[in-house]
Amino acid sequence: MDEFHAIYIQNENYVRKCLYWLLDRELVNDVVQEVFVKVWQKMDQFENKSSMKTWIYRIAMNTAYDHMRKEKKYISLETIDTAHATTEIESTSIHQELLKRAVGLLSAKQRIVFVLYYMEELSVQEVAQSAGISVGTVKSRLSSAREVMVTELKKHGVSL
Amino acid sequence: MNKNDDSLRNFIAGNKKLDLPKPANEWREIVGRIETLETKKGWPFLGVWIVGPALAAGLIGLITFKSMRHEPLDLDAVDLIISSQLDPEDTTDSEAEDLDFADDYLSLLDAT
Repeated sequence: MDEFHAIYIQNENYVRKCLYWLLDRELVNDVVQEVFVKVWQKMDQFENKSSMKTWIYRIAMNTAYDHMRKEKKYISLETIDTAHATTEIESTSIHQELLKRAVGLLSAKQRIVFVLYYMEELSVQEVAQSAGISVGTVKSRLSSAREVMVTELKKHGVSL
Repeated sequence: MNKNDDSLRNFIAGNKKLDLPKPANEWREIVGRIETLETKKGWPFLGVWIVGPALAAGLIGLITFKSMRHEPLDLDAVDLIISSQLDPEDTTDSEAEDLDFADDYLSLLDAT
């Protein structure tokens, strides 16, 4: 259990951040737990073919994907008013919210590659490994996700 | 696309920083979930080797008990059968007819 505790300490932070962008806020902490329970259950299947981090990303992505498939499209960007942001802090937090909601507009599959690539700054190869898809698929999903994001953000006054 | 991509990257870099607090009891809750799963793993063994045979024995006992209770040996009927065999005169009409029929049948068999 000590070894597993060390794995949890090293990895929980990025798993939580990643899940924050993928899922509804209220679900995040519960899904973090779910991910680490799965990590514990599958420990003997880890074969050092990829890094431990990529392996945990993959478990996290699969778990998140299961939840994303169940969720409803709940996001409306209309409720965010970027024009009335007065201070820089206010503007940052509004942009953060806008970003979160725009990511939520992506399909589950697009969201996974987008978050891994742009938020977690993994390479295309690492995204492919973490999501269990080919490099070509990563590129095409990234391209369509980028299009959606740029359009949505521009629509709400973000200059890109 | 590259210009757009760079601007998007910059926008994301400036707005993705999160300070997400870790729930205080998270590790303990993960350990709790794992322990619950480990306990559940023990149930099939208990089910197969202890609960299973106990259920089977109980079921057999119940069936035996029920069958004994609902189909007792009818002693009056046994007595009637024995007495009618010994003394055909004491039997009722229908019983006597049955016995006559049996006698006829036996004599027919003797004749052939």
